[in-house]
Amino acid sequence: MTAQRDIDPAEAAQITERIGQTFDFVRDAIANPRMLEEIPNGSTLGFRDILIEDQHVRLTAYRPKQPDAQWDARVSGPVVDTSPGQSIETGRQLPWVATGRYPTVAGYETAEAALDALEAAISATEQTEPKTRRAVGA
Amino acid sequence: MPEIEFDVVLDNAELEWMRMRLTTVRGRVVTYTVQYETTLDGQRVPVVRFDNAHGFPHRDLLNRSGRIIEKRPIPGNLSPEAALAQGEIEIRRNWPRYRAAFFGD
Repeated sequence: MTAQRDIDPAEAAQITERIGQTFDFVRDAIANPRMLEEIPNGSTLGFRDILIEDQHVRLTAYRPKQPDAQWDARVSGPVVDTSPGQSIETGRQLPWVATGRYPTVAGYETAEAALDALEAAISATEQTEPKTRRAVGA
Repeated sequence: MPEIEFDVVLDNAELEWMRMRLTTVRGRVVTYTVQYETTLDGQRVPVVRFDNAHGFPHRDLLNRSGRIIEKRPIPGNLSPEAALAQGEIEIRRNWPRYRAAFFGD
């Protein structure tokens, strides 16, 4: 018999948020199959949503399945909430969306480190500090 | 038939997970499996699974031995995408209850 690990309300809220981000990612991947050319099938994923100039942006960290693989991260798209019962969010189109050249980083030990590096890279590119994190993934 | 398969870590301790596998045809979901997993004795184990295997969308609740203890069809003759959306609603709303039942059975 193994005792149930307690999950506090903050952690439960985080888990619920990440479940939602998982389904959002699926919708993004179906809508934009090119994303899966960079994120190999079978990868382990972690998510973070940030706010840049009033636009929600999803960062996805991914670690391919092979042994000793490291974490890479990329912008996987503007956050468009198409979950059941939600309306689609519209916002200013960020420059990478138009060009298809989404910022990426590679070679980190943890998902969190990859997401931090990507957020810093975006900040440098945009010369705008991401102002708000809606949620932190992985 | 494009296949999308990945695992998602849900907590910082890496003890709670989602596993997803879908096939699509022309951008439409054809088959899907969505599984919420927890960790038991250091191993990832499924707690609840939504899928449309065997020709109908359903929810499986599992016990700590990995056996299905309840198989419940998703009512309404839904398309795979609609059934997947229903699974999303249920798993977001009810995962703590599924988990408590898993450890409490």
